[in-house]
Amino acid sequence: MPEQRINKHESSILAPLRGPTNGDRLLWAILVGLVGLGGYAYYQQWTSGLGVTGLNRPVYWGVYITNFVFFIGLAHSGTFISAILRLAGAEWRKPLTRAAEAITIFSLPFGVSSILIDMGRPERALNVIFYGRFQSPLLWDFTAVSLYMFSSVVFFYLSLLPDIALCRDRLTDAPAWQQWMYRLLALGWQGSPQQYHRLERVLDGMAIFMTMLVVTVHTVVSWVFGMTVQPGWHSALIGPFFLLGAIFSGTAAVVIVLAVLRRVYHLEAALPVSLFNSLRKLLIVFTLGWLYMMVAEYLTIFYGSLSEEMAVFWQKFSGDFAWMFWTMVVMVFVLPLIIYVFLGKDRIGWMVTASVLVNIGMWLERYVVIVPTETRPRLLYELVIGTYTPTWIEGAITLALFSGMILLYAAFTRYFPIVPVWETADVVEEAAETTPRRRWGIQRAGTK
Amino acid sequence: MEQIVSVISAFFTDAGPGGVVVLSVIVLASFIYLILIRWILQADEDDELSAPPKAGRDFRQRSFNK
Amino acid sequence: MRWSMVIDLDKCVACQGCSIACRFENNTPVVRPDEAIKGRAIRWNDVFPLPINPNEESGEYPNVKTHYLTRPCMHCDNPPCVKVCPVRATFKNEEGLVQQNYARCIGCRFCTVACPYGVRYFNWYEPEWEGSLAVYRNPDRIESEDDLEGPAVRPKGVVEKCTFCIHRLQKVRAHASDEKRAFRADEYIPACVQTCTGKARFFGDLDDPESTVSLLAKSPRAFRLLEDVGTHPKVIYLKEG
Repeated sequence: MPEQRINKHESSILAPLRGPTNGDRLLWAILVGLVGLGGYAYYQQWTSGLGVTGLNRPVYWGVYITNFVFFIGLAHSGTFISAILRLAGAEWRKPLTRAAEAITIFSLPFGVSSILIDMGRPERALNVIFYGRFQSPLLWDFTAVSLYMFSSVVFFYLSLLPDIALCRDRLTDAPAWQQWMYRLLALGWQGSPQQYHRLERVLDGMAIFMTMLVVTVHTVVSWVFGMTVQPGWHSALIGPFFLLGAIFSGTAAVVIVLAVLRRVYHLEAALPVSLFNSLRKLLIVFTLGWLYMMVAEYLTIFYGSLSEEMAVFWQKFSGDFAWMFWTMVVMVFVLPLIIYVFLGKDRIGWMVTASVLVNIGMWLERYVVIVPTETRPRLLYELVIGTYTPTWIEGAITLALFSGMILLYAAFTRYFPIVPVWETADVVEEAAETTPRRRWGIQRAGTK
Repeated sequence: MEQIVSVISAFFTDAGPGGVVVLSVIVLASFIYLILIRWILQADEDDELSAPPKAGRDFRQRSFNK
Repeated sequence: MRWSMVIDLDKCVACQGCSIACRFENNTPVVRPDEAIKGRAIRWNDVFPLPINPNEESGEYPNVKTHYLTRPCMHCDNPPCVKVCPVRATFKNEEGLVQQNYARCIGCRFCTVACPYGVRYFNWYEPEWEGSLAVYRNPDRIESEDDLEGPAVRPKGVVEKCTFCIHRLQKVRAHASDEKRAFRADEYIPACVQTCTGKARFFGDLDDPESTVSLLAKSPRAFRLLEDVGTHPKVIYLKEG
């Protein structure tokens, strides 16, 4: 017998699925155009070589690698909210989980693409499988990121499964192909209590695994830099630093996405302001945590005064990258902290403003970690003192990556419910009733 | 002892084992996820282990008429 | 055998003959002036001024305090570039030479950012030669099924660097085996060593205690670049005395 779940927001959550509007089609057309422009830019690069970028000696890594780190970092939003907060028993997260995880699965492919785009011989990418050397941090990267991407898709799909079945059953006036898609993807889900029970158990187990993966993935990404001997990169703190940065930028991205969805799809009831207030508290912690990491890193470098480290240090604090560094500090820490603490409570507009600043700032932060170190190699001499000016090719490709992510996300929201109907059903029901603990100790939804 | 060290060292430095690790991890994960998905979908009414607690303890089991 | 090079900075006059011999020997492509300004010139052996103390001014002529350095690949005994290559396109062989296989390189450039000496270069475009340069190319190449090394013309998108003229080593060994005799270490001479105007460069087997390089390595003037980084470079410089 299928389980009876009532979600009083069901109709508003399913409303966007009635079909794309002309506004959607216009947005998608623009995004496709931008992706096409990026494709053209990449075609130039494919035929001529990486010389069409601003990369040079010694700045061999630039915008593309920045994009790689940034997109992988963004992906941590979903896992943080659906896995880590799940384990912490934070019931308020439930309406957000799918929107956050969708960021994960739609940003990871663009992170991976960034690496392929950066390679001099991308057609030889499979060499990493045939001739892979496990001593190289890039292999650790490859393993961790592919496992993470694969697991995120599975986790996402499983969380989506009952709602696909819901669409299959409810959206009977949708186009035939859409109904066929729901039937296919629903895998015959019947919604029996036993199925829900097993699903929850698997999600609990996967949440633990995904949490471990999250920690591993971004640490391993940072070790591509940390495992070299280069000043500014070779730091023990780089793992935790990148990890915190990823969760930080990811959570800020969730705020932005949530606000947009709420406005565009009229989900004010399903996504109340209290969600933003909960995220606000987390973001305040993350901003302060980021400050802690920055102080720990730069004070240590400054106090030690090793000459190769100081060359890179001054590049960031007063040299060629000073404007970028200080802009980043203002955008990632100063303004967001002020806004989150004093202006953000109950005010979604301010929350989004701060979160947009955080994300732009975090992109700059990745750039500031990667490039200044390359411009000040140990063997300082005039012929090599480096500069780097990205070209339109790198800009167009970056724009295409963001457009692609937004396009996939926007299209997804028109065909699948972006707020989990089955997961929020319990929360919406008799909230007054307290529930017994299950065998394994995780409390079911109940009072807030 | 030295052979062990050299085998481990060769595993990390030779070309090839890295790819084997990546593929093994992905294949193992696929296998596990497939089994888990099947296990979820094949939940049986009569299955003791999969049955949730009886009505009264589980608030989800309400007296609805389907 | 551990191949090593000794460079006597007292005898070096920074004529750059070594750099030029190297580029002709190894088919190094030329780049346009605007590319060179961007820092994309390829110089397996590079000649440049190096401040003795990077935190101090080098001074004004005639009181200049700087080395004029000629720098091939260090062929480190603990190479940071080899550690990071995901596909073993760069690797150290049993004789201490750090090789580069153009056929397998995926162009990720991890090795280029890992090398603290900056000896690695990348082919940003398809290599080209102008006019007579295109005619006088070295036909030597090291090639096998999935291996392409040395002076072989590189495709775009791969990394290259000084090989200590490994193709010359192969030729000399083949020659010795044709003549049915043992190969002698002093027959193997890289192009830069052969051409040096000031006879400042020496090359040989560091494992042979009688070789020139071993004897010179014991000199009180001997130093290596970035010794504290732990790479154990095998290019030994003799300080100006």
